[in-house]
Amino acid sequence: MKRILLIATLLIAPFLVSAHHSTNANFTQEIISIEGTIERVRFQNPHASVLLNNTDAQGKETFWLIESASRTTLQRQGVSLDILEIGSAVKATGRKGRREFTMYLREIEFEDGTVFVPQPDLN
Amino acid sequence: MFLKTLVGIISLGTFGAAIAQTDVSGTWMLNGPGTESEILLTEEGKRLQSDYDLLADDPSLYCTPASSSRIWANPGAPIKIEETGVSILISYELFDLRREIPLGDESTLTDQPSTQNLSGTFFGEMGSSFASYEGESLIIESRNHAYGYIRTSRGIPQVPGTIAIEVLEVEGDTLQITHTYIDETIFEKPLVLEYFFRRADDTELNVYDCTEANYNWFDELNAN
Repeated sequence: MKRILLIATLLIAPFLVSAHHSTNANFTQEIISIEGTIERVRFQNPHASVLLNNTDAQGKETFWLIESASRTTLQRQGVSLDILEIGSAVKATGRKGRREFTMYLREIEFEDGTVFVPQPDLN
Repeated sequence: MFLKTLVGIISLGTFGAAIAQTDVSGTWMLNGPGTESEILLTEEGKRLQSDYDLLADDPSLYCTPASSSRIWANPGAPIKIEETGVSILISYELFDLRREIPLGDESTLTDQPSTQNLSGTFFGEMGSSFASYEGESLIIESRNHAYGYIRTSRGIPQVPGTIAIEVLEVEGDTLQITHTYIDETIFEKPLVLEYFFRRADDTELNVYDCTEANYNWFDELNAN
């Protein structure tokens, strides 16, 4: 059974969506998963994000930008991205972006089965 | 005719701009998605909308407010309203915006935008505003807008001639804002938006320190 690392808070807002641009406009409802290694973590406004490097069997690298809410929104919920270490192998799952190779993060699963869910109410 | 009547009613209210006390002061958080009236664009409005590319033209990509309605309708970011007796100061955590609106009539209106960020950059997209009380409502009228987008998701435009009227009313711990956009060149009929906020006086505004969110750096990664 997976260990669920549920970073939540008792102060969850009535709804949490992306701060600076409309999540529904910029991301489809299609849920996708991408495996890769963490190249960069940006805990900032207007969007926190994780850059994943996905390398296929032929060695071709594709970078995926995995976006989340704003830093201030996440901080207000008691969420940080400290758990996301550069070089970690992960599988990210979320809503496929209308912009190529982008996703709105729902969860990140680590190799040991740990799952990081920054915004539990989105799931 | 309707537009003139509506503006006339608002102007009547502002003309008698007595200093009153409302309870809009405090910190507020958007509560729910709000409502919007039917959007009927003129041919010019449709042309502006068709020119808009969400993935490239959204002003938010450059830490710029697309419009006052876009800034009001942002979830998760507190908004603090202060009444000083001579002006209304609205602090939006989003983009660190500070909007200072003189209380009075149209004569208080200047060409300078009412909104700047903490770095001192002014944003015409938020318009130039003046405010008055009408009963227990606070009414803000804004003009002199820079081109922008009332709805960034669909490219609903605003232009320099657009007039925006925000009516703020408090009932209990709920702030309701009725935001009416009037512009016969782009709307067949006024666009009316409603937002609802819950009181959140225990929430501190943080420094937003916006970092440009354009995707050029990312696109270059995959282009190589």
